[in-house]
Amino acid sequence: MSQTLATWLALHREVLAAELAQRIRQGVGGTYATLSLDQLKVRATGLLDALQRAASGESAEPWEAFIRGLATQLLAEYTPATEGQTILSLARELLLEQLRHSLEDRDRREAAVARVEELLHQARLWLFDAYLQDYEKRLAQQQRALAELSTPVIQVHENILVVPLVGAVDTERARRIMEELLLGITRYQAEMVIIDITGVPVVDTAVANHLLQTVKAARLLGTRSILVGISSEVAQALVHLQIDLSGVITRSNLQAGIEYALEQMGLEIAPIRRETRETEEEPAVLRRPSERI
Amino acid sequence: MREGRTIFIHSDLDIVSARVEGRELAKALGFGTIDQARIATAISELARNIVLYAGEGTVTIRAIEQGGRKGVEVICEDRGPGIEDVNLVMRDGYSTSRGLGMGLPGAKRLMDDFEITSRVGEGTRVVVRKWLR
Amino acid sequence: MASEIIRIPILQIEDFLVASIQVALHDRSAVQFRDDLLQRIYETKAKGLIIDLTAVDIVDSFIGRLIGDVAEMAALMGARVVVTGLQPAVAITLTELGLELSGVITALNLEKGIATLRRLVRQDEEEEGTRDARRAHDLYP
Repeated sequence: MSQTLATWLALHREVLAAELAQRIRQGVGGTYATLSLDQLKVRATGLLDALQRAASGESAEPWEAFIRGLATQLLAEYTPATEGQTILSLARELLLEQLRHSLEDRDRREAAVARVEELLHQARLWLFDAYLQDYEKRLAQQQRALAELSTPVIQVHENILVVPLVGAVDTERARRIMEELLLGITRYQAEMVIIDITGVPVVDTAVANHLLQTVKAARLLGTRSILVGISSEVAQALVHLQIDLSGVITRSNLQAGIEYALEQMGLEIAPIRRETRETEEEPAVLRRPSERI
Repeated sequence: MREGRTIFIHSDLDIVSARVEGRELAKALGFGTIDQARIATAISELARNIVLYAGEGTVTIRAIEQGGRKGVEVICEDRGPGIEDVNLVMRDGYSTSRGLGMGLPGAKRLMDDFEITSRVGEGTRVVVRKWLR
Repeated sequence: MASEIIRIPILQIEDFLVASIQVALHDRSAVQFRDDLLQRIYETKAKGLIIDLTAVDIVDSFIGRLIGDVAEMAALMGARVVVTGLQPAVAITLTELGLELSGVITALNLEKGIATLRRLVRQDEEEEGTRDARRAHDLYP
């Protein structure tokens, strides 16, 4: 009986494609709105041909493959999931409408209608699934990227590391930060580490305690920690929460922290003295005070 | 759940065996170095408690899986005197003598799951687990 | 049973002692280690001691506390203790156990440890010198 549907589709192919293209043009926005009617007709024809093959064939695989291929195309064009579903809905509406018009024999009509319903129902599920898989894949990619970004440990000078923190710090992230920091200390044999929390929006009891724990663990390795970037709001919050940062060295910002660290190492940033020429620019250089002339 | 290794704990040498075993299994399961250290240290603390308070007992270490997550489970059992007030012992800062007693709260902090049952005169059972992230 | 106890070799470098733990220490060996260290400090009148933990993977509360004890006891005998080479995993587990070892001075490696020890010992000597001078001043104002 599905031969009826297949035959019918083959017969009315042109007309159906034109009408479907028209309806898609009117009913679907986004990228599809920018396609010309001819382009839409090509796509509608593709859909109907695949449907015809599905109606006359045995296995559901080619139809599934087509729908998933359609999904890939829609995703590549940034068509939202709802728009994709609308396309299939419009196709279904059109086909049911036309079948009721043109097939007079009730049994054949109902068989064809049932087959259309079945095929398009499957199609909508596959389309939904394809979109879901894509979202999950992208989410996983983003999480991986975020995890990589979240703990940079930067060596600014022999023995001095800077860890700039940006964004919210929860328990899991705090643990990662502590581990990355300590590994960094071992790798670079850093005697001082500057933890910059300028970019951390909320510093509550939990975050403060994690930071304290990190500082303690760093101390066990033999490294001194400097905490910088505490804003006035954060300072107030910390005092309010009665968090004891008395054992921790703090400075207002990264520059102050670096200068302090250098000072502790017996270094300072000073202009290069040029004996003969006078230069407009005097680049800064790190030098031990004793090296000055 | 796979069969695990059971180590009989009689002496301080067994404490080392247990923690080395724990570390090996953790490593085989894919835990990172720091989690390996956490697991081994927790085992060390719990095994020492057995030696100190019960004289002898067992530590069973095995790989586990639950809801798609993989992890390691350690069961420490003894037929020692038991703990009268578990809550008291679990409180940080509590110690029986000269700073001992860090074992239980410490092990709890190092691991993800911590369960303890103890009855005076019958013994103690501590189960800890850590899951792969 | 005595044969199970491992003795850690203690080296003397100038007026410092250096001990590097290379094997897993069980409790009795650790206690023996502590006793040996204090005995050597006494015998050599060493001014400083370095305990190197570079090769140690796991430090539990027993060893952790023992090291803290050694630092305290050595100080009573006039010797400074610096612990070097702690691994990140060990630092983290000790912190999570709640052992801060605030009385213990640490350094990243042996080289920095010796430099730190020299600095500490020199500071101690300067302080003693100042104290003696002040005392003399008090006696003869």
